[in-house]
Amino acid sequence: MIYYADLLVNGLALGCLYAMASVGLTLIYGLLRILHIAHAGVFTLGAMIGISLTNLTSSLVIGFTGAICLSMIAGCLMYRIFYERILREPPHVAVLISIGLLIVMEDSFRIIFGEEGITLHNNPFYLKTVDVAGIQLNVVFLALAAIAVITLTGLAYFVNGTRVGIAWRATVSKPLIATSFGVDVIKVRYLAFGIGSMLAAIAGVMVAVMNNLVEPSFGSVVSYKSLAIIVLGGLGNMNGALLASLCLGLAESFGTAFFDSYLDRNAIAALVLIVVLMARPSGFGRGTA
Amino acid sequence: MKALVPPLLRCERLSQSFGGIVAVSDLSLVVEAGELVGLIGPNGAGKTTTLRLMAGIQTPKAGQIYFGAANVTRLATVNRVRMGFATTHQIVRPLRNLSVVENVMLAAGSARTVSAVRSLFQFSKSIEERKARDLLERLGLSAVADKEPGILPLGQLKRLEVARALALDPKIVVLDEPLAGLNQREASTIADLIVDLNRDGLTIILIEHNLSEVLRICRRLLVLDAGSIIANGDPQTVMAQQNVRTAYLGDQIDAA
Amino acid sequence: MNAYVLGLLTLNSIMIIFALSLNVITGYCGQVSLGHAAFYGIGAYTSAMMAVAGVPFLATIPAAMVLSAIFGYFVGLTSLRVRHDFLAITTMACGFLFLGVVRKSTFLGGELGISSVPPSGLGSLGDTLLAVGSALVVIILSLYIQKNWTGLAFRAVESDEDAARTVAVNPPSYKLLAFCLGTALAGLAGALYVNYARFIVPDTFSFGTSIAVLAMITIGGIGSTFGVCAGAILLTLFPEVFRFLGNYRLLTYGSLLILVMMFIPKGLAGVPAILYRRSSSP
Repeated sequence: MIYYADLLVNGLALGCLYAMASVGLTLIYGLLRILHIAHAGVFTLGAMIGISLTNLTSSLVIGFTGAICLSMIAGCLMYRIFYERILREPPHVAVLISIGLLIVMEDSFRIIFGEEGITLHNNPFYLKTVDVAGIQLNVVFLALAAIAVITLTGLAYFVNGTRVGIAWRATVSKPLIATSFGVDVIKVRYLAFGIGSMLAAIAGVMVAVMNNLVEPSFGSVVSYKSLAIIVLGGLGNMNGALLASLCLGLAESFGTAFFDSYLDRNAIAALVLIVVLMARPSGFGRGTA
Repeated sequence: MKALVPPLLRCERLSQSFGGIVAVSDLSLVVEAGELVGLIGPNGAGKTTTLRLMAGIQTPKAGQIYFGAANVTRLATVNRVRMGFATTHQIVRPLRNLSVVENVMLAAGSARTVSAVRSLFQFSKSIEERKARDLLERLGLSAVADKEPGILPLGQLKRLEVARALALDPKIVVLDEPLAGLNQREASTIADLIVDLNRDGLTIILIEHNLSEVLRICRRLLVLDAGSIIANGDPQTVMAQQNVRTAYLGDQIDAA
Repeated sequence: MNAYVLGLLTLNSIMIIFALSLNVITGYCGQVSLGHAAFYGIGAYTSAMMAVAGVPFLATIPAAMVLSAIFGYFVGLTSLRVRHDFLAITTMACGFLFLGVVRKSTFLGGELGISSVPPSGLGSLGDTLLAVGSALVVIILSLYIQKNWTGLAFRAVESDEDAARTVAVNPPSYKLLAFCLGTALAGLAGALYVNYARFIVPDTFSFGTSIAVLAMITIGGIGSTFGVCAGAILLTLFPEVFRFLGNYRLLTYGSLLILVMMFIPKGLAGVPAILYRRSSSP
């Protein structure tokens, strides 16, 4: 029983991590139909900057702040420099640019920070667990889940409850219509890249603190699953993406526990994706056009 | 005993609604071979829905559609096209990656593309190209035959739609607002063309808002309002009918 | 003809076939596939397993092609079911599923793959001639499809599926055809690869490979047979030519990908058109 509870909590926390890393991707895909695979690079960038700054200043707060700011800038720059000009081209162009960006970022990290990556010099949180009703829960993982819940709830409130947020959400689902309502679509795009990158950076730093390590291919854990979440969540549908993230987290947690001898982590996520899509070709979302 | 030839197109008590809004209600109409029938009505009357039901883009909630003796109510669009039913669209949709003549060639070569696997063995395009270019000539599009549709003005795109529909060698064509967006001279030219095509034996249903041309060229009018047919007859009689004038003008006019 | 040159000819021929196979699906029919390496892999594993079991190499080729096409058919069915936006991700998922199954399957050799595949018996010159000959056949086939009615119908499906229906082209059957043809040819490439390398590991068929083949056709010029061949050769020779870059090879590859896609998104085949427009403008 404890075992299942453990898997459940693990799965939900994993889902929160995926949600943080994927919301940005969903927004960007909904707005621009671009598979922003380089988002995984932003995730890693956040972690790298966060850890480096913390090591330099011995302050996790500065590390976090720096990671968030620089990642947001990086995300927006990616849009401005690389994506904006090729929006009218067929989809494979954006995909290849994004992958090229990811390759460049990962290899740059390898050259700058080394193949082995970097660790936190002084990590008070490493391997710290707390006992909750008999289950050993990693402190940082819990903190990540908590932060995820807070930020994502905030975001959900923003897009469901405030005028700006609703306009934003509408724009993400139907960009063309939104323009005729006077919404500044460009601002919405930067907002999407900015907020998405911020969330990814936060998640990145926390995972780095949790594992006490960030290395160049750090992002690969999340990257492909994030793409699955875009699809499962339904086009640009934030609520759907959150639901999909949790489901994927749970599926992976239980799946690897039971099917580890047949399929690896990515394959389990892939299988979930394919099965869900066959049943519901528009994903969990409400089938937006 | 004379054998009764079924009409080319028959819609029987069609009904269609979208989430509570009734678009078409208990609609019946008949079109015989060789006719040039106008389908008119105010905005929102259900003309486009009727077209979509006839074309197979939507399936009706109730009612039946027959081409000749065959019940096609649930037949896919592609198969209705093969049976001889062609339509043009209000919002023109040329295939943008192909040139104008290629657009028409594909329609002309519909027999070759029936089966994907068998199309692998179909190479020669000369017959279809000849036919396509002839059609384009007839529709005044020869000058732009080898250009891509993306740069063409609306009038020419509308004519391309007609050319594509004709290349399918249909028995009956439904033209969805072919004159919309055209100036008076252009509209008149196309209207004359429609008359010519009908004279050559093509059955045509013309859905149009441009009443002056419709009244001029159609021999029979069907008036649609709020999803049902409210009048059916020759243009003079129909336009004098009280309910038709009310539908268009929106208020009661004294009968006296 | 020394072994190095023969090997290079063989590898380039295999990559040309692989690239042209994706070109049928993505270039002609417009279906973006990010998991094409899986079919290359299915062909390769089929051929390898059969060869190791004693089946003569030439006989494994049709089996590899058929098996790839069968799986391709099912993936094609998914393309019909999901929104076209999602096709890229779905095909990517299929690629990962293949990889995941193969990695964990002891029957298929697991992480270590299959090694010690027996030679075909044709000799090294014979192997090269087989590969080059196959590539030539595929090139001719590719040009034929480009010019025949299937190619025209493919272009219609790629352009606008609903409009294609109005000219009596049925998009689902053409998409399925594209997938079956493309995956069968990928299977051919896979079988030839096994004969060339004599061993395969799961990593050969990773997401990176799917991306590489997509890069080949986009850099070369999607849709254009000769453009795709050029792209295939370029990217195959890339590791050789840029060997001197050593540590910075991956960085260069990524940068090249970005730059080419940003400045010549239509690929090399589109360059003549760009130059023509430049020279004719005042």
